[in-house]
Order: sequence, then C-alpha cells, then structure tokens
Amino acid sequence: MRRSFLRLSSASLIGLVLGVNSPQGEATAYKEIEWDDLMPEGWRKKMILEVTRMRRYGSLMDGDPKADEAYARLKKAWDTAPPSKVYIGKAIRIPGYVVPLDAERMQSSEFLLVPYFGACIHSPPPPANQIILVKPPKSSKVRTMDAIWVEGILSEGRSYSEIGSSAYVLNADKITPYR
Amino acid sequence: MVWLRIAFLSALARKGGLLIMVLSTAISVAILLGVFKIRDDTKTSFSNAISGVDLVVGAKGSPTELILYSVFHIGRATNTIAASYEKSLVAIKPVAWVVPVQLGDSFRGYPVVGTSVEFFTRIKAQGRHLELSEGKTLTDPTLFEVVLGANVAKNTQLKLGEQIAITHGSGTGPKQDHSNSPFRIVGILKPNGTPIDNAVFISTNAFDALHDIEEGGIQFAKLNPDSQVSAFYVGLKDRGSVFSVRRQIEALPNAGLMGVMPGVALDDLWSTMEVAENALLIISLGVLITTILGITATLLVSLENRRRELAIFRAIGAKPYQLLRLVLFEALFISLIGIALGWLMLQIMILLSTDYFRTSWGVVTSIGLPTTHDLLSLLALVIVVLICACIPAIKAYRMALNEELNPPST
Repeated sequence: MRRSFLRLSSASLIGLVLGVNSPQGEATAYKEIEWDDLMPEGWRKKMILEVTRMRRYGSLMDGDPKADEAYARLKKAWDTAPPSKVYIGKAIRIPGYVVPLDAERMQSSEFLLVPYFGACIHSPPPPANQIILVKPPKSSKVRTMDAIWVEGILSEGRSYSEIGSSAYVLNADKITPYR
Repeated sequence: MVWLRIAFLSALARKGGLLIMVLSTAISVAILLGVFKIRDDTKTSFSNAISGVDLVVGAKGSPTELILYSVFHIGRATNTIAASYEKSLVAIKPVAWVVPVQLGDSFRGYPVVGTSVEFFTRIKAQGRHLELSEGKTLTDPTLFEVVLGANVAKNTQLKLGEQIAITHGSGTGPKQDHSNSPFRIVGILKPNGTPIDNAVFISTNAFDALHDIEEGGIQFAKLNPDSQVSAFYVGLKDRGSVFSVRRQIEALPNAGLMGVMPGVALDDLWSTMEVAENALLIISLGVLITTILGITATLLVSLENRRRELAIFRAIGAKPYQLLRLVLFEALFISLIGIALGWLMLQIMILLSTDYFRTSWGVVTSIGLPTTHDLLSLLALVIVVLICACIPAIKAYRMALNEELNPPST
C-alpha cells in the first residue's frame, strides 16, 4: 500500500549514494506467465463446467442446504486443486499481491502471492494452485497487498498431500514493485 | 589552518546568538529523530511480540481488536469463546499446535495470562524461543503455579518461591483480591522486549479456578465445561495452507470463530495509523524548516554586525572566497553541533521515558546509534543548511572593501 514519501526517497538515495543497483537477472531468462497458466488445463475446464452448472442454484436463497452443499463441494475442489507441471523447475516471472505470513518483517520472511487484491480478507480463498509460497531473496521488504513482480524458479509445494496448501513454492531471485 | 582558528574565535566572540541557533537546531533534530524512532520502535515491538504464530483465533469481530487485546493486552476486551474448541482446532489437518490464551485478570496491574504448558515452547519473541532467567516454566496444569515476565519480577521485587494473590478483574482494589489463592512463583522469564515481559502466566485450570471461587477457598474443578478463552494461538505444519485452515475454522458449525493472520492485521493497523504518522512527520519537517530559516536569518543579521570584522580580514589579505568559506563553515559547525546535541537530547529523553512507553503503550524503546535512514535525513539537513547559508556567504563575498573601512561619515 502507500508508503511514506520519506522512506521511498531515502531508499533511492541510498541507491544513488552507494551506486548500488538491485541485482539484475543475470543470464537467466524469466518467462512471464499468467495465473491461468498455473491451472492444469483439464482441471480448469472441469472447474468452468462446475461453476456453469452451479448457475442453476442461482434461484436458491442464502443458507439453503443445497447451496451450502454445492459451495462446500466447490471449496473442497479448490483446496485440492492440483498444480500444473508445465512450469515446475522453470524460471518464471509473475505479478501478484502479497499476503505476509509473519508479523515481524525480517528481511527474508516468507509470504504468499495471490492473484487478486483482498484475497487474504475475503472468503473463499483462491484455489490451491492459485497461491504461491514465495521465499524471498535477502533484500526485500513487502507489506500486505503490495503489488509486486516476482522472478524465480517455480517448484511444487512442499507438502502437497496436505489439503489446502499452496500448490507452488517459488524461490525468488528478485522482487520488484508492480508498475 | 589558521583560518579555522579565526572562525572559531570569531564565533566565540558572538556566542550568545550562535548558542541559540545551536539549541534550536538541536531541538528540531531531536523532534525529527524522535518521530522516526517512535514510528520504528512501535512497529518492531508490536510485530516482534507474535512471531511463530500463524493464526490468532477468537470470537468474530474486529481482527485488529482481537490482536491488540490477546497479544498486546491493550484495548477493549473481546468476546470470549469456549475453551472446548481447542479440540476442533487440533483436528484440522495442517494445524501443528494450539495454545489457549485467557485474559481479564490482573496482578498488581499486570495482566494475568491463563495458558497451557505449550505456550513456553511454542511462542517466540523476536524470533527466539522464550527463555527463563530463573526457575522453570509451568509444568503441571493442576497447580497454582505462576511464571512472571521479566519486568513484573523486576518491578515487584518478587522472588522465586514466594506466594502471591491474583486480582479478579483489572483493578487493583483490595475488595476483589482472591487473597486466599496462594499462587507460588516457579519461574521468571528473561526480558525479550515484548508484552510478555509485563505479563503474569498461570495455567488455564488455575485461571478457571479463580472464577469458580467457593466459600472455603478456591479449588480446581474436576472438569470445567464452561471454561472460556479470549483467543487461541495456532501454529501450522504447512504455512501455505493458512487460507484453507482459516476457512475451516470459520466454517466450524455454530462457533462464530474468526482466524486472523497477525501480519495482515498489523499491516492493516499500520495503514490506519499512517495518517497520524504522516502528520507527525510533516510537523517535524515544519520545525526543521523553521530552524533552517532561523540559521540563515541569524547568519544574515550577524553579517551586518560583522562588516568591520570582515573588512579587516580583507584588509590583511583575505581573499573574498575565504570570507565565503568562513561563513559556510560557521553554518556547517552550527548544524553539526546542533545535530550532535539533538541526538544526545533524544537519548536522554528516551532513557527517561522508556518505562512510560512500555507500560502505557506497550512500545519498547531503547537508546541506540542512528539508523541509516536517520543519517540520510541528517545529511539532507546539513546540505540544505549549507545551501541556505550560501545567501549570507555570497553577501560576505561581495562586500566592498573600501565601503566598510570608510563608513559614511555622519
């Protein structure tokens, strides 16, 4: 979110004074991908079908057991959403919003990257394959719902067997503000 | 370097005005650094207090209020929830551990936290596990044992093994004393700069017993089905599953629970406070600008008084640029001495007010060297002062020699 002007200007001042530039991606070429690319094609089609089928519940009232049941089924499907293998092990570049996992901001606190604003507050949360656990490089500091670009190597979530976990882990090489 | 000596002696001759300039610089520097300091320390002492906790679970309501009350023991008491939900929480698959937190009682004004044995192994402060300076942690949940935070022990002068009574409610009045509750001090924690320093820890069973008081003194209930807690701290096996766990917690039937991610809640709090923070910054910047203008004005005025002096310098061979240098150095020294003095003043103020900040705001401040951010702001200050001092300096440079030595006769 907003940062105080002074903090920004001092950060850029340090850069100027010390002549330091953030490390540029060396030889690695990061492929820019979209969040949709992280859903396996088959699963995505199935979900679209599922959601379309839910339209017929449109006339139901809130709290109707039928609606609740359909909602529960969809949430289960989202929690167990499988990862797409296409970009595993590849160097990627993806934009997203930050959801911090720690209260304290050590220089390298892990955080979650999600595709839309407010994902940390609103229910339901995104499907598991739309959440990336980011392990940031040393020099980054982010806040809730900062919009950023992350570059790094994508790997499969540590314990995918665990229901509802983020399906991906990204060892970030570089984090830049989204502009 | 004879000219440095000259500049110094010349300044000494005009010490009255310069001293006030130095003082005003010092005060504005102290205010500016103080604002930075409070801002940074507030954030770090708040966020350090809850490391290692992935979710704070409490009754549905305001997430910020829940965090403030259950972690920092400030603000309004939130609704309690049934302690029996602990089982439902542990049953959620990615949950690694659950620690209950009961609040509402106090001991000589310090909050009493009813919790489980696991609190001392799971909760971290400043990223480190809690350490004991003496004794042991709570081990037996059926005993009236108490562990003191570092400040409580220091301020009350209580020793290991002493018996104490705990007050019901948050007051210190004698009426509500559970005087017949003999809590024995079994451990004292090391200071860690978090609200834990200011808290008193007892087991949840002992906490319940306090509220179940019978005529013949308090006793442990065999089973307390009505036991209530203010919050649960929850740790996860897999942090990536936090959304899903939170959703499952909030979906527990008829529970009305809410799971709060501490990092998100604190960031929310900071963005609310950013307005006040920026207002403070603007005020301190205003003070700073006034000071800089003051320095420039004083230098300009003193130049009028120094016409003779400068003219004599010229007469004995000083070049115009040397006069320019003289004035600029004076400005530089004023700002440097002012900065040093201001920093010193701030450290003294911090030393004097540490206890106040900690007890009334839960903010831990400490003296320390200026941060890079501070140094950069001060560097900016010196540069601006020098730029502004160019006006009087150039005026000194241009002063015509003959005009000064031959004042217009009246």
